[in-house]
Amino acid sequence: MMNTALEHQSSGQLLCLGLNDYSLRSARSLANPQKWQGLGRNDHALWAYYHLAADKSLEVSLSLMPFSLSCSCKSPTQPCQHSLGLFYFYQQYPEAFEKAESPPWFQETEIQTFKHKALTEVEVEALWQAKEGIWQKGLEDLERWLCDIMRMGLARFKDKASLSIQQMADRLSESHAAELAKDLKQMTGILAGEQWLEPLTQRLGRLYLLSQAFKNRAALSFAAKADLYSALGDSSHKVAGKVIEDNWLVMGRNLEAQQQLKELRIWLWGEKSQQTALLIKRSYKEEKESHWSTGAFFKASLLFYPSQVPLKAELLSFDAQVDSRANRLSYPNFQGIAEAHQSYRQTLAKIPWLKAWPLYLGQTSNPNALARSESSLNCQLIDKNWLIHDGLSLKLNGKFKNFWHLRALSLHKSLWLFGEYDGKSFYPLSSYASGLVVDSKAFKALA
Amino acid sequence: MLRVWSSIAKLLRLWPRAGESMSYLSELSSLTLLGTEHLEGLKLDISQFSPSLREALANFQEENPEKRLLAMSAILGFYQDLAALESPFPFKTSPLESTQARYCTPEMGELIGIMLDGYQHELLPEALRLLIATGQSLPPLLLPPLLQKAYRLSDLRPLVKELLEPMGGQLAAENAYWGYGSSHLKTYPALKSLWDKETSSAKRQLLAQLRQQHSPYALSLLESTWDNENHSSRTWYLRPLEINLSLDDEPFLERALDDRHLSIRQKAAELLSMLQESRLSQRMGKALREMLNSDGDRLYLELELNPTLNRDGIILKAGDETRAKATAIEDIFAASPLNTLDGYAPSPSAFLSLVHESSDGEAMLKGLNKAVLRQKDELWARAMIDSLGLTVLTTKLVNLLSSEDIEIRLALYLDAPLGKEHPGMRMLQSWTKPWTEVMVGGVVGMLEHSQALAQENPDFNLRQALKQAIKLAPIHSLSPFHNIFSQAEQAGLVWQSLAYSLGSMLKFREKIYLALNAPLSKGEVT
Repeated sequence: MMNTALEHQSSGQLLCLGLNDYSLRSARSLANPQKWQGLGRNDHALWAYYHLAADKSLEVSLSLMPFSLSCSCKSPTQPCQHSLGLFYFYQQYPEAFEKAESPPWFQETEIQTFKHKALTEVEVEALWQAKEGIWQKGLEDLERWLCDIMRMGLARFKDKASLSIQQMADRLSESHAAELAKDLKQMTGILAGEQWLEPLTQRLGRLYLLSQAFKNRAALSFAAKADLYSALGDSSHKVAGKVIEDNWLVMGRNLEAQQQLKELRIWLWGEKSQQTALLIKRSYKEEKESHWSTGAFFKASLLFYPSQVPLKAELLSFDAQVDSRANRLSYPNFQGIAEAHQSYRQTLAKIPWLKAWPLYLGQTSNPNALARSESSLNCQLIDKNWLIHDGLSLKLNGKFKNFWHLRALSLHKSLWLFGEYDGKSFYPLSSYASGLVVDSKAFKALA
Repeated sequence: MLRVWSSIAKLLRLWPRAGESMSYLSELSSLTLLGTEHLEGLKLDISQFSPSLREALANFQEENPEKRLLAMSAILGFYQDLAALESPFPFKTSPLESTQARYCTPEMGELIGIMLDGYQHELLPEALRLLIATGQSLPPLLLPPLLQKAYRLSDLRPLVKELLEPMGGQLAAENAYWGYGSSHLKTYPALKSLWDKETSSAKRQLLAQLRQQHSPYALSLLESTWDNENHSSRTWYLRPLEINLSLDDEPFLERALDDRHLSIRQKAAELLSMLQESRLSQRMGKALREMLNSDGDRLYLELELNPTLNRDGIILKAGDETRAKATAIEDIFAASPLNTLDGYAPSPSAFLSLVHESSDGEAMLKGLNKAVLRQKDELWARAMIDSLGLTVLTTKLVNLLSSEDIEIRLALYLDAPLGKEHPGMRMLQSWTKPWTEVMVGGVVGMLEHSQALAQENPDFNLRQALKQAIKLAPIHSLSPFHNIFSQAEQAGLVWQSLAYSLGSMLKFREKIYLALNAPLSKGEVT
């Protein structure tokens, strides 16, 4: 079992964790028999000591079901090069690992699940009421600040924007609107760009809209209020959501760093429910959450936050990892750009504070088909902009760098892409081919 | 507020009208830029807006001018984002040449990916050759990193080009740096515009690419800016001319001989001396004949350093008189056609015997060595190695020999102890062409019989020779090395480390053949 399962854990899967080529290269150099001692394995894990010095060694292990790597070193980057080195060493010398009792330091991976008592909508409303006074103060300040900016004009505001934005963001943080404060801080990034005027005008307009929505909160439904308060940064309502038990396929991962805080967004697709879920992990460490690698498939129960369009979720229970090749019966419903964008617009009509919307782009027919037609999804460089198109076009996000890989794929066949759409551009997180989901970070870098 | 939002929601559900202006937000931004303090009656003319947009704006009854601007910013912002998608894609999708690509196995794709990362990258050319020989293609996702790798390593380019057609060829044609991978040659004006804006490194890559595709373009581009380049760039750009060098390049190279910088004249002279019919080769041959005499036992040189030789890259003033003479002799021999020497002795070996007796023999030998390398003359290479043995000078000539020749020589060294500076290992470490089974057998025999593993650490020659064997020998002949490497793991530290690194390379090579999953006839990949 171990061998078979490990064979599936190809080096490409390591790349799906968002590891860079440098980490993998340095890890490969550790796959040297002289450096490993105390090798052992059982049916679903292997372990070894990595020799550092005469009396010093590290405890390194690799576990399947779920896939995870661990090491006793204090490297801030996880998985570290030692645990990756163990992976490569096993690939090269599988016979060196004999069945044995696991050492006392070895622990099975325990996946953190959400453990909170469920609340009713009434109980959540009560919690909100307690906070509304504080939010109101912050949002009134925000409205005054916005009006001041419009009065003085953006040309004058730009000169002192940095300090002013920081002060307003601090006021919002004090008013328990951390998410809004974060949005506000992102405006400094807009101001640093060459084309700042229109995006800034647009951003200020949306902030105003949010402050007005809060004023009219009494007329909003529970779900609409949940969306609004979620945009402010509140999470007290999430315990009142619905639970879906399903086989979940990891469609993609996106790690974003906001100063020291890292936000990992993990997108899942439910096989039976056809529901997309978004798990958000925030951490100050560079946790790779190796069990959530793109393409992984597992049985689990998710708790969805209340929303007009439920998307964000928490893991309630993790039952088992499943071999996606052998056991998956269906695939997500990929759509043309027009259709996918319509679903975005419909959601935006309900939740104007929507930040990232999942798009499954491709022909609506079977994604395992190889043929390419006029209406196939294609990727092309037009006037120095990378676009994906199928009759209509979407801009690729400037942060996405592997456009030549998409171009190569699209020359061969129609593209099937999953990614995030922010209203302006599309960020591909994975491509889908021959029944496999390939993380876009697994595309080899152009050195 | 709710009215405003319901209008926006309605807008979002509606498709913005085809051809409708997308400059609304831009117009509004000119107002937000100024601020209400400075607007004084200025307002946005909404009469041109679509009815749905006008409705959304009219629904907003905000009295406060700042709030009115903010609300309009939100509405027009949403509207613009949606309208950005509304325009149909105006470009035609490039047609895909019909191809029934036969992709390599996923395992092979993964191994290629690992080599592209840098691990065991020396085996990449063999893996590509195997794919070509078995008619397999690479998965599309590996094409960009492969094209980029070959952009940096020009030796890989012919293989990559052969492997890519037709799909990769189209991809290569679309990237300015990957043009070498495409049969589609850009027009000269397009190339000229690229040439004029590129860095010197990229220009050199472009030259190398064009030398393989269409030499006249390379020469024309080079000539177009030659006079404006600095001298180090000019020297740098001459190197790619080695690719497909022909007499067509002679006029340009003769012009380069008039350059005032010696390094440029020397490089141009080196290139011209590779063409035995070139005017420079003839001039050098004539100069050599005029200065070289023989009485049948010895060679005599009457060196008259004509200043005109300086134009042909000959250094006339190098330190003291003796050194200047030696340098000039070396340069003249290096640039002369080897057949110039036919009249002095019946064979290369006989000529070399005369050289040994000459007082300027060392300089002559150095020059001869360069001439043999430039003219790739196997007969002379054999004679030089026989005459001088395998020295630092002559090891470069080993690759000019035939594999049969190497096998015969190896047999002569079989009994020599496998200690330091073993002549057989010195020869084999320089042999960079495919190994034969006889060569592998010779090395394995020497290792097994000499008890080298028990004696001492392997010297540089032995280590390099073993590496060449693992890299270049037929895969089916390498099985004895598994045993040798497992014994080496019990030997000294240097042996252990060697066994690990070469053992990894051997295993990786074996994995490549296993992953190929296609029949391969013996000798198909060389």
